[in-house]
Amino acid sequence: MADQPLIGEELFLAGAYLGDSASQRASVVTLDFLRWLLILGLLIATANTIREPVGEALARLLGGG
Amino acid sequence: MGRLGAALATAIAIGFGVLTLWGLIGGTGSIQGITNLLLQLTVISVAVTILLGILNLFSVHLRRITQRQRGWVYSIALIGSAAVVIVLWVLGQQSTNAMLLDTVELVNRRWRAGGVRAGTARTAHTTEIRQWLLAVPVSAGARGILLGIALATVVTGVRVLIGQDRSYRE
Repeated sequence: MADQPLIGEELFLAGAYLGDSASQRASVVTLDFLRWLLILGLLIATANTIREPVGEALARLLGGG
Repeated sequence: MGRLGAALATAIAIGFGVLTLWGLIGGTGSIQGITNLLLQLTVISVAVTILLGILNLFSVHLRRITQRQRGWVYSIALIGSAAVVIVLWVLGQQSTNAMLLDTVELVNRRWRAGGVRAGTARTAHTTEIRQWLLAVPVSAGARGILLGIALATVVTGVRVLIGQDRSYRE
């Protein structure tokens, strides 16, 4: 039994906690890479969504109108 | 025989994985029927696994309480809260969240003897705070966990399809 609770994705990576096989470590690295890719995608989507309102606000701020 | 058994287990896992993937992506006719059957079997297996996990959890924490191991007080809290939820479900309470919130509001109103108006204002504040908590931090945390689970599921699925998952052969 684990001392700390395993939440969400940690259940799938329990094998990497217990053992040290190359495939387990590859899973962890792949998961981290996909997570960063997802974060990048979320940031790009957010920037695209707020591009127009921010642009208008900046224009009003700098143009004074 | 050991290696042959391991290879056979891997082949079976990959075969059924590819079959299910094919049916989910765009299979028709008998492939779709086989995929649906496999998914139903999986759902039933997962439900039984969850039930076994809950029984194991109760067993471990009851042993921790009876043997007074480290953290046995938290085990009492866990088993107690689980028992309360089960009893409420048996009695027909549909939402334990709503029942707990009603209890908090009732205690708040009775404790602050400020009359109906003050009680109503604090009830509205409590509801607003609850709605904000559910909409922002709880929702953000839940979405983060779900995204992590989704990514880990994809990675584990690919590992099974390429034969790198050894949980069924060792």
